[in-house]
Amino acid sequence: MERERLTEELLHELLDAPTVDSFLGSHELPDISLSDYLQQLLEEKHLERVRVVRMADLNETFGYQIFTGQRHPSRNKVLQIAFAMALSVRETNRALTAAGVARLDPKCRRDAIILFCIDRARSLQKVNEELYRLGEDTIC
Amino acid sequence: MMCPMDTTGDIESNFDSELDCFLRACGHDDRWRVIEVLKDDDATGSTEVVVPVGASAAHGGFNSAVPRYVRKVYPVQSDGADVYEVLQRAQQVGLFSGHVPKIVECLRGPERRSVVMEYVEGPTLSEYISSGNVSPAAVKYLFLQICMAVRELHECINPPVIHRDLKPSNIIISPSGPQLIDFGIARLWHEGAECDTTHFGTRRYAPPEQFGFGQTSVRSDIYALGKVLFFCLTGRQPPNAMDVSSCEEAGVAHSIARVICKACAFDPRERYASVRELSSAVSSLPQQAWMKRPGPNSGGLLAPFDSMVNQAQGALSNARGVAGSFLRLLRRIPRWAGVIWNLLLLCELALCVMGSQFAIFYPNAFDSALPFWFRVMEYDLLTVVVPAALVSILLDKRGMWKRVPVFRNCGQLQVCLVGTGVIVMCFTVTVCASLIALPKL
Repeated sequence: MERERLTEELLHELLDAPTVDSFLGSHELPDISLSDYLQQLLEEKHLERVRVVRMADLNETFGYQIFTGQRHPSRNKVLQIAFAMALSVRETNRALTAAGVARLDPKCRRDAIILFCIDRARSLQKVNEELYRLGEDTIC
Repeated sequence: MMCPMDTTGDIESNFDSELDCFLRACGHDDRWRVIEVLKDDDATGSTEVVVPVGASAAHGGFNSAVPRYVRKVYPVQSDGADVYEVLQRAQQVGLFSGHVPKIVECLRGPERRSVVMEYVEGPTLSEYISSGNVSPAAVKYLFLQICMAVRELHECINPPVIHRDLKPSNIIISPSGPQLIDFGIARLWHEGAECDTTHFGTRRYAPPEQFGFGQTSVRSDIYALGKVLFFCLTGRQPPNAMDVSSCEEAGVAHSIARVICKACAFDPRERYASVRELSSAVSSLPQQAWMKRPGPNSGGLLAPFDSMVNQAQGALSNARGVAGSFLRLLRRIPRWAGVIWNLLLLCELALCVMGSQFAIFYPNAFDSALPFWFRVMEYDLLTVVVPAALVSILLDKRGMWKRVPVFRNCGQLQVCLVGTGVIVMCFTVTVCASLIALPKL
């Protein structure tokens, strides 16, 4: 699947949506649990769960439980997984929705930094560096 | 052989600059970290002390070695930032010699305009003069430097910039000389304009035309400079209307008093036409005019009173300086700690209220002999009203100033004064009532 870029149009759509709900609503995404969605992504991207958990800097057991649906991760943990799996902006927001947490909103400065780093396929380490440099809380 | 170019650093710096552009596009153009809020008002904007984000992150928090800046934020419909943009352009072409803080950044956003300038270290002119250690020669030199600063605004920029709020608290005595700050109500002078927008300035130092009777001009700043000179010589706030005799009574020499009164003439046409003329007049005054001299009434009955007033003014100014430093220290306390503090205060107040009601309706042996009305008044005043007043003084009111109607139109000083007045009144009333009630026992 061709990597989707954070185009001007997408950014404007995200910024102009009254809530990000309306943005996602307009794209008619079906409800799915986080564990199911992550499993789906693992298959699509031909990734191994063990490797993703390690790259996400998660505890092995905790990571396993997230993928099996036994544990419900925090927003930052979902973002760690998103960076480890090199998800796109849409995929990341969909994972956050599935986890029942707030999506990335460019109106929030910290989220805007994370969005940019996701779009530019930066690593978890890099996004933490940028967040620290710009005075925001790091992801982990 | 060509050496391979190290592009890693280039790639990363490009990434950083692209991220900055992206943040600006999202409406986050903030490369400053706020370390202190000096003023925050929805209508007129805010004034903050800031440091560059990178510097504060690298130093792990506030560090006195990190250069500080002042950021003024105005609503987009306000024209408070206009003059700062003019000053910035003038500084960029080298028109100023350093009597105005360096303007680092002027930004225009969809909802706000911001100006960032260097933070000028040093006491204000009012603090400097109130310290009492300024010799007459230093006063003259200082005032001529201030005139030079104002002349730059009037003569180096076309059209002239009229400050309109010259006063001792808007002049900082820095190691490099006096610096003019706070151009929030400054205006560019335009020929033929009938009147300026309605920003009145500080009553004592603002000329009559600034209250809507005409357009302010360079002579408006000259009026303020005359008042500033009076302050520098006497250490007192100048009266609204100046005349030679009141200046002499304050201890100003006759020749200087005449200069001050000409600068502060009601009719702008009777004032000095330019700051250059005012400077010349001040420079040409005889040396002995600058020596401190007692006023006509001193040496008599009022002499001790005069020196007491001077000492009181000096003490008051020092107290204000100390209070200001204390408040700045308090503002560094994190908000969450303030919330916990507020909750503790409110719990204590609730305990006092409950205790007082219990004491009223279930009095002990001594209290049961007191009249019911006295018990109600004593306990409600001393254990409800007084603690409530104390709590209102001690509350961490950050974030409450706008939301709570009681605090909306007043500052911390007013809250303290009102609270103290309430406490004193409660004790007074209780003492009077006890004189009525207790003799009957």
